[in-house]
Amino acid sequence: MASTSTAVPVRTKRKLENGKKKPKTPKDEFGEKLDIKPVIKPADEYDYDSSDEEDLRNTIGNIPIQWYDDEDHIGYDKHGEKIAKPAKKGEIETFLEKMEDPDYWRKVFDKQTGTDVKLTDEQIEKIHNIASGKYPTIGYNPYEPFLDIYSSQKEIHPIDNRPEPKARFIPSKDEMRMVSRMVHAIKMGWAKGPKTKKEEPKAYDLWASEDALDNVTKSQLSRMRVHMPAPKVALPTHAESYNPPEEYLFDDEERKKWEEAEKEDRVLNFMPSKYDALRKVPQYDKFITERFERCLDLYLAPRQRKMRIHADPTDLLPDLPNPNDLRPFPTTLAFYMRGHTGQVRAISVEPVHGELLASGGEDGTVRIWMMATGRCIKTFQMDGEVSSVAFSPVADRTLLAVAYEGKYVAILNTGCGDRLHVQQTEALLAETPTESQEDGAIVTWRKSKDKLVLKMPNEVRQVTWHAKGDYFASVAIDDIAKSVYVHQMSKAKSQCPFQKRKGHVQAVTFHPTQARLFVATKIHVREYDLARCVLVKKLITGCKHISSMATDANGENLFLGGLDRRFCWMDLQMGNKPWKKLKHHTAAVRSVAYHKKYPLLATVSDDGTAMVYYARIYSDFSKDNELYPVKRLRAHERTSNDLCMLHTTWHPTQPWLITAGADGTIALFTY
Amino acid sequence: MDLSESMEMDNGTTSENLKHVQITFFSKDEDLPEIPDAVFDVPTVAECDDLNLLLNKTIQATDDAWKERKFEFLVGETFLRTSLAEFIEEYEVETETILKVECVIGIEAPKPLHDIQAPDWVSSVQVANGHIFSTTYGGDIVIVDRKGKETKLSVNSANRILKCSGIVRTTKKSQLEGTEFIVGGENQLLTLYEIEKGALVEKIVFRGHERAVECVSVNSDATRAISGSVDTNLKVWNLDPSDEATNYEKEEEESSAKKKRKKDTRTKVPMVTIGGHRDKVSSVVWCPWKSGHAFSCSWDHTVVQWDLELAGEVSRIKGPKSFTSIDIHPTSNLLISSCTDAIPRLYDPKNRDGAMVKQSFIGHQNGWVESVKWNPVDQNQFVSVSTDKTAKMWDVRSSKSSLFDIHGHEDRILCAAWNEGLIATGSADCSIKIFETS
Repeated sequence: MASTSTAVPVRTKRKLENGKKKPKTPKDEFGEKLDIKPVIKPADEYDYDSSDEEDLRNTIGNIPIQWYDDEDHIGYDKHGEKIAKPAKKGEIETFLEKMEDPDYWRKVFDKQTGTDVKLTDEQIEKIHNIASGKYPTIGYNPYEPFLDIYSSQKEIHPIDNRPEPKARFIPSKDEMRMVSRMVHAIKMGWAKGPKTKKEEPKAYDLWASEDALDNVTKSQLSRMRVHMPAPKVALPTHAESYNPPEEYLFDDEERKKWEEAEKEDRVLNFMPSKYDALRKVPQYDKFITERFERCLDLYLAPRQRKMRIHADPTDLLPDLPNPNDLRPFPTTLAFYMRGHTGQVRAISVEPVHGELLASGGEDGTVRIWMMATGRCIKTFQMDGEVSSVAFSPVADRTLLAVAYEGKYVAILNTGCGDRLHVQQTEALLAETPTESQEDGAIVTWRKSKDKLVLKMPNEVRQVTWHAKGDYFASVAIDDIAKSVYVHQMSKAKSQCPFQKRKGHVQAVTFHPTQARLFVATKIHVREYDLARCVLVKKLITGCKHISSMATDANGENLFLGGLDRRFCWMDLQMGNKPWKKLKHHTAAVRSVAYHKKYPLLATVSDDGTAMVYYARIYSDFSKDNELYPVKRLRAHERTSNDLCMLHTTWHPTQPWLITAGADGTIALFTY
Repeated sequence: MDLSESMEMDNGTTSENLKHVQITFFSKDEDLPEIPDAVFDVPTVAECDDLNLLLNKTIQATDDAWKERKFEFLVGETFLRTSLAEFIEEYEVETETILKVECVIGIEAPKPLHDIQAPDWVSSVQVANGHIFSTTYGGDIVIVDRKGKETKLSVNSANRILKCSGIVRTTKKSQLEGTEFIVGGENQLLTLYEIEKGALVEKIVFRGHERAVECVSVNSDATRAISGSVDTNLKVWNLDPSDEATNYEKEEEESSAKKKRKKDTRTKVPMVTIGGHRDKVSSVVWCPWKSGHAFSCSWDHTVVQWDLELAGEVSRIKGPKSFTSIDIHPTSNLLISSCTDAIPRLYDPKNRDGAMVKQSFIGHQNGWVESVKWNPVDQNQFVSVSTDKTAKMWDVRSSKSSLFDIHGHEDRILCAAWNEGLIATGSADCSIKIFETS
């Protein structure tokens, strides 16, 4: 509608234009005036009057006008005549026009005709309206009165009064025919169900299983997860170079050798050769073989991932505290006490002050030493080799139990120390009722000048005191049933608590607070209640041959040393198995000692070393006992029969260790 | 200075690539001639010998009568023992200013004087009045005079172990006659002996200790003695001849007491017993600056200063190990101690921080230092004897190395004394060695 309305003024305008432009009609290249007029002149009235159509003087149709850009004409008129292109305006011309023409602003260039068209007022208003969002038609009323045909009110009468056709009430014959035909087809079995879609043959998905991990075996899965690349081919060396350095080239000898060698034995599978230019290098004839061999290698060599743990070996070690934090413990050898001529078999320290040290040796002497200076102040000559000495644990008795060869145990009054105590002890020995013995007694007590002598039925290995100083026990060397005797000093009586042989008894120790006795056989330790005469506990030590035994101050822990180099710590409250088993010595452990005051433990061995441990015992159950090796002490010389350290004991007040050596010396280690 | 240049030439090194320090010598010793206070440019590689050469030449240049002597050099408070460079590095000495080096006439090595064979292990030695008094484990008392004349005296009870001794009184003319001394031993007694006509006369017996007497010390006016024992107690004894209060007589043994009185032997009980140590008291000395005070050291790792009148503890020094011996210098009041290890340690007991070790002297090989003794004349020198069979003479100002090492004993040295220019050491090889110091 708009197009028609606009078309009309264009026509008029063009007329005007033509009239105007007449004086400045463009000229062609020959300078002749182009007469356009005659083109318009012959137009008859038909053209103008055809109101329905646009005045299309140009008949090229709706094609892009730029196709005629290069032509002199811009199209053809009805009669097939070319319509000449109006002359192009120059810049100055345009400018002058702009300046002079008051209607310049309302002129629009028409591409179809190639001329400017002056818009009418009406058209300009329309453009204004469109631009400002109004209705383009001037005077259009959008709110014209509306004739309401269908109202919201419900009518009681139909809008039209036609009756319903009959067909609406009659079943369709056509449908009936169709249905009967289908029924017949079903009856005859011609009918088939709905057609199933035919599966078109698909291409096999080679990689489908790659993503789906359902049907993958474990080994496949692991292989996928832990991808193992093939080992890399070694990089070429100088020898492979086409121009290797001289030293890589074979001389005659090497060449001969290479040629003579079996193919498998050759170090290089080729012969290095020299070419002065790369282009002279012939084709490599072994390429295929080499590839093939590589494939064979990969195929035949199973690849396996080696699980290597990168653990720092120091991390695996237990976290030990710094020994300097665990001081004091003995570190240095202060001096040797010399005097014994044979092995020093046993040592014992005076209980409270620790001034005196008693030692017994192979030479049949018991010597009393001053600890501070290492001076021997007294020597007792016994009748046989001394095997064990033990100071009475009671401070005001200067008694020393000595076991020596010839089946004797002696209770000596050392006569050293406090003179008052010496006198009291003398009196005590004098009072001992040795006369009131039964005739058939196995152990006979005899009194001599400053000692009691017990004649035992067997050779005695060890003597040990009960903490109260009245009872002491002795162990026989031989493997017999009645090897352990418990003696009572105040009554001068001895009894044998065990009648049955339960193993070869190696050591006995009294419980430090109760009337109990620990008896160590070669592999077991049994704890007996002496008052009730019952077995309390049997401990499995794990040692193959126990040699010595020590308890702590409360009798809750046992320390065992074995001839099988083992050291065991038995915590008696933690069952009958050892809490710790250590093997720090390279030879048999001869003796174990636990310090009364400091948390120190020492084991001495035939390998000539004493191991000092920091061994703290907690009575608190929540805390674990501590055992750390802190020092290895060396002293004494090995004797020809491979014995070195035979016995050890701690100083009662100082963190000092005393060891008895097979070379006849006693060593004092101090902090 | 041409001398220093010549010295450099002696060293055979070119001076360009060596560090130099500027030093100047001075001395506090008035006996020395004037030391020219010139500044020397000395290469840091120079050692004591080089400095000695330099100094001697310098003095010779001004004083023609000068004879070459050996000097020791002190920088600050410390002896120069190494090369200057090492010293500067160790003690972080400032080298931008002129280094002032004190010159001290070097002391001569102690000359061995006598080697006395004792009948048994020597347990204690004392030097007094030109004589060396020593006790042995066999119960003998060996007295040697300066000329090496030996007097062996045996205490009357046989096989009695003597462990300590103290000189009570000496006569004027360096004669033995009339000398009183006190000995203590394993029989828990202290005995005061007087030498009358070349024989020992037992004057007073002090009873009271319950175990072996380990140490005894007599105060300067010989009125009191203090002793320590294995039974952990200290006991103070009255030595005053006029004192009667502490005399002790057994009533039931009237006759024997009379006998003893005839023999002019008295028995005394202690004035005061002081308990406070928890282990053996190993050494006791009187306090030099306060009468009625004494120091004792024990195996319980402490040195305690006691007020004997109040019988109470004044101060306590906690040591690292069990003490074996202490000595206090009479003028400097410093306390030198030895432990059951190889390091003598110096303490300042007057200081509030007495527990601080002022100096540790490292030099003994292993084992214990059994005894330390000051030189009463020189407040910088002391001697230590060790179970490593050596005695060492130390200067307090040189803790890294001793002045002199005295070898010769074949067994552990158990005791030492230094007095009147004599060092006496007693050993378990049954010998007493006497050295003379300048």
